[in-house]
Amino acid sequence: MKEEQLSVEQQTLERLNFASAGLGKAIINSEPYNNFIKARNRFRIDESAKDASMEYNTVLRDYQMRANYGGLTSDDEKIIEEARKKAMGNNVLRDSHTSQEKLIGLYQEVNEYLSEKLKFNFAELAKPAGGCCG
Amino acid sequence: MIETQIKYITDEFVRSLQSTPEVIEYIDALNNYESDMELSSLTEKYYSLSAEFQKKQYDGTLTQPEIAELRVLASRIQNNKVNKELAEKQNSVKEILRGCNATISNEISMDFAKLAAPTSGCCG
Repeated sequence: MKEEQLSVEQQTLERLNFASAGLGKAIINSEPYNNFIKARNRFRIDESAKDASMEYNTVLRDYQMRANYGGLTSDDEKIIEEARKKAMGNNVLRDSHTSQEKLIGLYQEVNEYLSEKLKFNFAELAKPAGGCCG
Repeated sequence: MIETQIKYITDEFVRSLQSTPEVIEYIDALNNYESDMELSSLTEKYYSLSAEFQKKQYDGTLTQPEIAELRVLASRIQNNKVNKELAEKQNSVKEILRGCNATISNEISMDFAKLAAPTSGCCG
């Protein structure tokens, strides 16, 4: 009886594992995923895009640090907006950002769709344990 | 708009989850929690008193008996059978869901749940 029960549990887990892998595979076959991979690969070999990204990230880090300490002025808002515009002027970097946003949008949509059916938020409970930003 | 193929596969995934004992038990516990009148009245009272006492704390008029009253309420909520049951079932379901997320994430080479979860207040 115990062995039978174990086998039912194993079957349930295997079915769940199969369905989870299926969902992952469906995502990697989707347009947003493929667009992201292509854009990311282009970014990785483009020196000017990497420089533009680094430059923007330096400004962004400084901005976030000031924001955390409550020292933001309207000048900082202008600086970050200009830095963002400059970075997005690089086509490869812009494509990489846009495709990443679209992919995350897809993940969120899938999560909303399945969470509505489950009646609880899947991602909220399934995300790895850790700090709130972990 | 989710692609039809993803929708179809997601439906399969949902059906597999819905037939998992841990998920069934968690949903039952969630329904019990939501329909428990005593618990909802205790929780409502707790939040309303917390807000009221926070104001008093700013004004420096919060008394020890008031702090004690809030603590008693919190302890009654924590020890409520339905609440405890929900916490227990949530721990079990989390284990199952994290396993599913690990499998999905392994396929897509990034953490699905972390990216798909609604952004929380503390991390923006």
